Amino acid sequence: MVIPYILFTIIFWVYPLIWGILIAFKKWNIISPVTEFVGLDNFIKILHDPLFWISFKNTLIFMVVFVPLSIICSLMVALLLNRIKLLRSFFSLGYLMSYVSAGVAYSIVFRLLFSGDGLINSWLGKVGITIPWFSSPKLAMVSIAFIVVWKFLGYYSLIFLAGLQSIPSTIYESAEIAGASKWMIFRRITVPLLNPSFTIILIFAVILSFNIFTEPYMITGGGPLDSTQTFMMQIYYQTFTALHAGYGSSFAITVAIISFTFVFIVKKTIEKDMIYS
Amino acid sequence: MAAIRLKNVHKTYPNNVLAVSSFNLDINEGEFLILVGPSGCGKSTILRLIAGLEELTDGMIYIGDQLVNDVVPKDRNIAMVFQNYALYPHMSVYQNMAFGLEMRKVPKTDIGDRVHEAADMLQIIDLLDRKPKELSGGQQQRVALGRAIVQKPAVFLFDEPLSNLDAKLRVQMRAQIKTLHALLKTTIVYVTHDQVEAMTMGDRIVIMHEGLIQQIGTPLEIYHQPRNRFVGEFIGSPPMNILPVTITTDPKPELRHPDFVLPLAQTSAWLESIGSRQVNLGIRPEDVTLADPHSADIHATWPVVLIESMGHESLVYLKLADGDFVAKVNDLPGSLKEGADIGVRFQLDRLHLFHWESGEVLAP
Amino acid sequence: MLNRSQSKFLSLTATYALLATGLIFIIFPYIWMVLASLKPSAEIYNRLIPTRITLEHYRMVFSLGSTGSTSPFVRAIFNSLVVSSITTLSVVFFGAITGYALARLRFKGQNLLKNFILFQMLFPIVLFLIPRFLLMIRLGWINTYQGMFSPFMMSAWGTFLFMQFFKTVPQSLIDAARLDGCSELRIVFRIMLPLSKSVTIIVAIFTFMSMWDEFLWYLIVTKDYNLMPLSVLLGLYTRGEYSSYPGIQVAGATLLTLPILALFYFFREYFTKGITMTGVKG
Repeated sequence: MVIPYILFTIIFWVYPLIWGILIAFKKWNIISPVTEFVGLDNFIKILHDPLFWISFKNTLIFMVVFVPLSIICSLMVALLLNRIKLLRSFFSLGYLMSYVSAGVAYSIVFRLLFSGDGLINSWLGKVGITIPWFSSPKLAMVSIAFIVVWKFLGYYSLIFLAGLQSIPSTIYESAEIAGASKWMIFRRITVPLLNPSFTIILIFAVILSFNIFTEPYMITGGGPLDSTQTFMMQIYYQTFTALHAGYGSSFAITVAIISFTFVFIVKKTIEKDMIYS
Repeated sequence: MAAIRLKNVHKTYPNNVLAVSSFNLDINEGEFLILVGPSGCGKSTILRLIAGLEELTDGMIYIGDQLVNDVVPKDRNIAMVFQNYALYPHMSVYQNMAFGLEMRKVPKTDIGDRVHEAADMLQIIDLLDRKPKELSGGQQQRVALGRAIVQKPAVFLFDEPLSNLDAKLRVQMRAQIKTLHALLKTTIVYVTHDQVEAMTMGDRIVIMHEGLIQQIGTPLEIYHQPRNRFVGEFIGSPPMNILPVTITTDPKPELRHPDFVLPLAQTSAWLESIGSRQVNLGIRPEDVTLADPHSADIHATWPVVLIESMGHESLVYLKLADGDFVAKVNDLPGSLKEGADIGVRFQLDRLHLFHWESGEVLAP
Repeated sequence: MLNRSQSKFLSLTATYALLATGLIFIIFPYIWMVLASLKPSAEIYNRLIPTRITLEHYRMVFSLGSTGSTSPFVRAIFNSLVVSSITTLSVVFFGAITGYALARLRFKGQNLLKNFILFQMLFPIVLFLIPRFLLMIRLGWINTYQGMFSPFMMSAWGTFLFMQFFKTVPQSLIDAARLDGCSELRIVFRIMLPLSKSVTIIVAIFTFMSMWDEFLWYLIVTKDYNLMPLSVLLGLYTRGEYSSYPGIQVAGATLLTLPILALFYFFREYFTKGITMTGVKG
């Protein structure tokens, strides 16, 4: 009964994985039957590729905005949801609505809504400001981070909420009796006990940051001035437009290694074993 | 109906736990056979081996004349009733009972007839449209029985079927299963850890411990002639009292305990073969009588710790220097009270002597 | 000074007010999208409430393409449905049988395979994009349905979820089914799946949603407009032919969103269950 799975995995997982690693050391334009072994040349080329560093910088900008903002907002929503009983499932489902939106669809919506002459700016115009959301190189990546926060807010909130609800209420009661203030309880009890939720959300958020593609592709096309180029977009252009399969593959491996490193750091620094009866 | 034969059966689980070894057993056609023993003794393993749910490590199993080692469960012509009933929660009672017949491609009309016949026998006709979770424990149990009956199998296998029921229902179901057996005359292999079920239901009992057969016999044989200390202690409630005693022949054959001396009536040949040695004396709580400590024919005098009266009979707990002793008596002597001494008289023809190390009975 | 019940009431009111405000931000883009798809083009950019309701954009969407032939949008919706449905059925089918074997059967290499599935989930998709594309070329599956769905037909995530749940089904039910004459496959589909309704639905809806939403892979393997799923067709139109027709874009976005929103509405409790239970699938 496991044979189909094993066959499938060999054909569509193991084989591509190995093939991908092999061609990373080759120069190949897909169309020609000739491949040339170039050793580590592709990887060295990456380090000298300005677009690699630009994508790296953009990914970091995205992360610096997206990670704290999504975590703070979703934790707040989860704390609020945890306080109510009436309408709780209504609100949690409401917040989850953005999660089910399709990437292409919400990219179209936000591009129009936040465009230079879009509705948001026409409202802002009434108080005399216009914000170049996607047309300023300084702001474009930040705006993209904002809309991805919009998409994942409800999803992360639900993970936090599940974490909050798994904390036994007796722990709060005993802290309250011990005379801890609300803020102290939050700092010393809630946050440490939510560690598993923080860990998983951080890991999701980091992985997601390295996989951003649809939003910049649809909204900005990587511009303005390459300010929204991402790793995924680079891999796409290198391989499927420029047909540099070897280079694209080594690019992909480099990105995978970087994202692994980030996830590893996150796990090592914040994950703690949490066991309470 | 079919006889079952287990020859030299071994079962070792993948984690190297030996569940059953050197197991030999012949189960007669139409017999009601009980497998009893403490948990982990291998009794359920035997049942699952007969059912084909586990694979033999070694040995042979025959059902009827057929060697079934390589026969899949569904083709062994057996039906099984599980401890937790194992009713399919997503199917109605009717579907539960019909499922096995459907799988065997029995014609639809036959299925209906057989299900109704079985449901009628078990008085669950009214429940046929319900889902298992809408039934009480006793009703679920009867559905589980019905599901086995409709198969018209050669053998019924019961895996502790009554242990999830409350005491009162258990008594009812015990009677119902006995009645069914009398009616259907199908061979039954019945696993239980409950010795009352074992004693009251079976034609024969197999007592198991640590994967080995301890004794096979009718309930009365097992009760009166336990083959070893384990069987003696396992069957009977409260369990048999065990006291360390010494056999001596000098000056005359006697059993000596710090608190009493009992005459030995065995033949001198037997005594010679045994010699002087330490043995365990087994005596059932119901095989003693209590009397005033000053009576003439008592064997020992011990202080009373506790008296539990159940009306028709009482349990009297006595304190010995090196342990406890329980007596189960109908008549309480007038002088009996907690804290005071009481005289004990053993029924000398009901003594059991067990080997000090092996626990085997020292048969006269 | 407020007494205890008054301050409690106030804080609860504040909680609801904050939640409601946040919810407006979440829902606003949807409201805007639906309204924009129903108003005249001129009003899309700078008016929220349309002066009149019009279906002209939808009419455009459904009548694109040469006269007499089906609109590419209609074909794209059909393509999306085909690809997403096949993948969903396949992930559930193979996830269930593999999960069952891993959870309830004994075979050589079982633990190895279990660990391998966990190991698989660590690998980012980026590593597979290029070699899978090359594989599709080699198989001649570019511009085919199977090219779009084949890499997603079995999922480590779905298999793992089934495996975890199947571990909780009592052994005696499986035994009973075997005695009743079920083959192992029958046990999976007649006993295990009906008992695992939530997990099945969760695996199905999350798979369907991710396939409906998929963009990059379809973009890579389909060049033929007749075979494109809706997400790619809409994406390419928006960036290309119809980049100056916001009406078509929002109408298309609405069409892309509504089916998943409907799915979300009908299976809403399974979405929350799926997220809180697994936390997987980001």
